[in-house]
Amino acid sequence: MSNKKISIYVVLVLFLAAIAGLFCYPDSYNKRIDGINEKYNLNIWHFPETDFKLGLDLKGGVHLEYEADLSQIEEGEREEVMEGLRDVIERRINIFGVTEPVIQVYGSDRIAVDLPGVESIDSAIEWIGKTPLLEFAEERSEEEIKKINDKREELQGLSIEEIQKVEEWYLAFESPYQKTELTGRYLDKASLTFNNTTYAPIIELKFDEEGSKLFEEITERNIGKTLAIYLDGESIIDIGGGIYAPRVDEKISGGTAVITGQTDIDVAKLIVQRLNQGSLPVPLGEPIAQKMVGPTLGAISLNNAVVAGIYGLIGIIIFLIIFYRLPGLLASFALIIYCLLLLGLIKIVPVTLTLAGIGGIILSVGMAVDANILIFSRMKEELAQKKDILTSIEEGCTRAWSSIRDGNFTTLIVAFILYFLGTSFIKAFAFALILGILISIFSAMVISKLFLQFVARSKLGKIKWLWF
Amino acid sequence: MNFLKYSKLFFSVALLSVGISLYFLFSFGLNLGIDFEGGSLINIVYTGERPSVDEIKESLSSVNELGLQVQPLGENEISLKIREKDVSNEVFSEILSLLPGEIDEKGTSIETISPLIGKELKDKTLVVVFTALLAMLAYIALAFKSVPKPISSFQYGFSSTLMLFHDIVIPLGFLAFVGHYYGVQVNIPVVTALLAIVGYSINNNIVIFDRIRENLKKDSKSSYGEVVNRSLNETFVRCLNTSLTVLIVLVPLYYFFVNEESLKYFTLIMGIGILIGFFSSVFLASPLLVAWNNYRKK
Repeated sequence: MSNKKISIYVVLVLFLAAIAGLFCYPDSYNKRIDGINEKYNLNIWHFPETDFKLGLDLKGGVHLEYEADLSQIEEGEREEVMEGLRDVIERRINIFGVTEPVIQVYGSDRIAVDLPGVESIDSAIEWIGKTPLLEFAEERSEEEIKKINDKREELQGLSIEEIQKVEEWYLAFESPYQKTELTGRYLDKASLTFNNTTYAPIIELKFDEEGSKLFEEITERNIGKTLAIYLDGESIIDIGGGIYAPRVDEKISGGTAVITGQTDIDVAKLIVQRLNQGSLPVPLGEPIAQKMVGPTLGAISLNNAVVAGIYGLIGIIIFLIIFYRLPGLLASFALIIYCLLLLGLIKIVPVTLTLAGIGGIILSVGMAVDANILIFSRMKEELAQKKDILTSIEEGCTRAWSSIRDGNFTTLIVAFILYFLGTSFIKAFAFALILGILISIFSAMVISKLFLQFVARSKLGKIKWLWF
Repeated sequence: MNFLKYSKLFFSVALLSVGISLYFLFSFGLNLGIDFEGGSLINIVYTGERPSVDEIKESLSSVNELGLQVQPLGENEISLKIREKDVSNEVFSEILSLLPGEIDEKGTSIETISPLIGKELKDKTLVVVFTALLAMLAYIALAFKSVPKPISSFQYGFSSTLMLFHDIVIPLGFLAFVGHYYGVQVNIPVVTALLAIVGYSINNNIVIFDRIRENLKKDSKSSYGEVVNRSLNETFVRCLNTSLTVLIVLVPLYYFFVNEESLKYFTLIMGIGILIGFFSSVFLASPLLVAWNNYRKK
């Protein structure tokens, strides 16, 4: 490469690094630009002031993992059901105004919920809801209802001991409604609207395709009768001890039904809310794993991680300069650029930073130097054979390449295995490590080499003691 | 430097350490943490003066059946551990209300994993570990397909595998020991560290083997032992330096996360692994090949 070409490349690399750096920490640049813009009435572009995406362990919050009971769901529908579950949870969480919740389906039947900024596991679990199960029930046949009512009359006024002696006593405690196949699973959503003229509240139900068919069948055979709605086995709303059961006026096809006649807006609202809660398709149960990190703890961890990273970097730079002098100094610049590029990439993707991820990044800084060390060792050997500096750089890089490739390759293999098989902690670590290794190879083979060539051609290239 | 001169001594040290580690491993077993056994971990930060551990234990005596372990952490923190149990949130609230002293509620962290998930993670981790080890073996077998005589690629592979075993068993033995005497638990981060060691320490092996191969091709006059020793001399500084740089970043990581159990033991095990890995690749892996070669000649 000619002198000019190398200079151009060096400028390019520095420019790239500056962009990455400003992208990571735009504050002071933007402030200065503001000043200039004001003074000279210009409109110079700002760097976007986005924040790094931090994981729960760094900003505090609640993490919950649930296992859905899919035993009632057919194999082919499970994926869809899980997606539905995710949506429902998300909808509920949004009502409570959590910023940037992350709800992910993983494995075949698991859901992980991240609630940043939430400080109590209890309330979080309550929000997500204790598996409300919405069921629609139709009246039993007249015979059965009669039996039940007769039995109730028979038992009236008897004590518990006496009741238990009566034949078929339990009949009296049966509900006059029997459950249908229609459950909250088939309900897309419920909403509240108002009559155009009377302004009376109307509860609107929207069923999905299958639910529409079921609902059509049920309404067809129950015209003139009532349909009870149960949430968790109890009437969806308490109306003075009775069961909330709107009357079916006609066969309803098309999957949209309206319930009128509820005059109290607040009650109607509550019914709608509970209907939506009940459309949670499968029971969730208690979380199988949970983690709560207080906000101050998260902040301390983040601060510690940053400081640890900076100390690590300084330690390595000192080491490099003592051992490898001028090339060490150049490698240090390359290492700083490496950090800026890595951070920039993490911000742009964006990768969610967790403690484990930062651990991986800091470790990768230590490993990133490896490639430089390999090149320098080879260069030293070449220089020892009385070759000139530029040839030594070229030869050193070429001959170190096979070791760099092989060495990083094994770490990469392990990192990939960790990434694809691991849990979230391992994934974060592995991802940071993979990213770090790839950029570190680029940083050593391209940036360090470029700097070395650039400096070797300057006057500094002639001062022998600076080079090892 | 003659790396082969004391190889018998190094072999004995290695055998002894592996033996002791295996002994610890089999007599104590590993102290698995909540990641694998299920259970809960509560960290509490005190704003005022931290009550003594005995005081804390006493005020928690009404929840004795949980088998709470109380450990002081740093200057103003404590950690409470509950093992192998599913704990409901009401219990956490109860524990938090029972604790004496002034607690910084925003500094509290709670982690719970059900035993079910723990079991699953255990199985999954075993799969990960074995996949990683197999991948390393496959890689070595491929990388050293065409090695000049007198040692076959199989032997390079065998030696590397033996070193992998050595590099993992010793940290495991260490974990069994500190697990038994100091209650240190093996959690996911620790396993991650072990696997990172596998990936990393094999690097050094490969660099050295690579150099041996190169020197064997260039030089057919010297004995195998001489070639190995020269290769070791040529690669020693770089192996030392690459291990050192990783240690350099691990030190601040450890220092700043002494209170953070997950990262603390991750760093510690990583550091131990790097040291042991360095020792095994420089003083064991290649000298073993030489010893093997000499033995066959006899």
